[in-house]
Amino acid sequence: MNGWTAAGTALLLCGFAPAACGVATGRARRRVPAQNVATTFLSLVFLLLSQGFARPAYVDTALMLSVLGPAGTLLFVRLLADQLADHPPGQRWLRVLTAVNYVAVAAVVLPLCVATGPGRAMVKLLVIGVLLALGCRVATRAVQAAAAMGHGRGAPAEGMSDDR
Amino acid sequence: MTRALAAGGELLVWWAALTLLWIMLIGPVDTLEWVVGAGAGLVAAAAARGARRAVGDR
Repeated sequence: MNGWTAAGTALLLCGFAPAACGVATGRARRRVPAQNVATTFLSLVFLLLSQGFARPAYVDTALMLSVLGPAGTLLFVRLLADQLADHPPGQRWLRVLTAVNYVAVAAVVLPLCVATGPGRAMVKLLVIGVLLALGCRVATRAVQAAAAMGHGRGAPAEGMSDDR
Repeated sequence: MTRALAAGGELLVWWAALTLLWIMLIGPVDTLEWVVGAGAGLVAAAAARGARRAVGDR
């Protein structure tokens, strides 16, 4: 076991596992944001294990997750919009989760970039990092829009209207 | 004429960016990969322009 696999295992146990518990239990207002955090952490775990085991192919799994994770969150936001409107998540809670996401992405991707060195592999890592950060931002905005519908019924929030 | 040029320019920018992204994300780069990447980039560029128009002003 080297430092990368140790970090990946630690993130799997201390990051992904609690997030997965959050996805599996409780109300939609907790499950939906936790789903996005869980996919971000899992993507970062794949990146760390890819470096630890020297298997660049694992990076492709992280790339797929960085695209499909936020897309899945958006789908669940749409499907569970009523529940999110009835019981909206706290704004402070969402901000904390977003900050945790950003910090985790930076804390994993930047050291990996340093270890990889300049080249196409580093560009790929940066693309994954940007996708994860943007995905978190978009998913959080979607949850906030769904929650805002609960505060002002009859006035659809930005991005949640069907009349386009 | 201006609109056609603008549309062509936008497609060209999307195509160049997406082909470059393809080349960055794959493993070994050879001639065949450039050809496949350029073809896929062109299709994706058309889709990207369509998506941009769908969410933005038409």
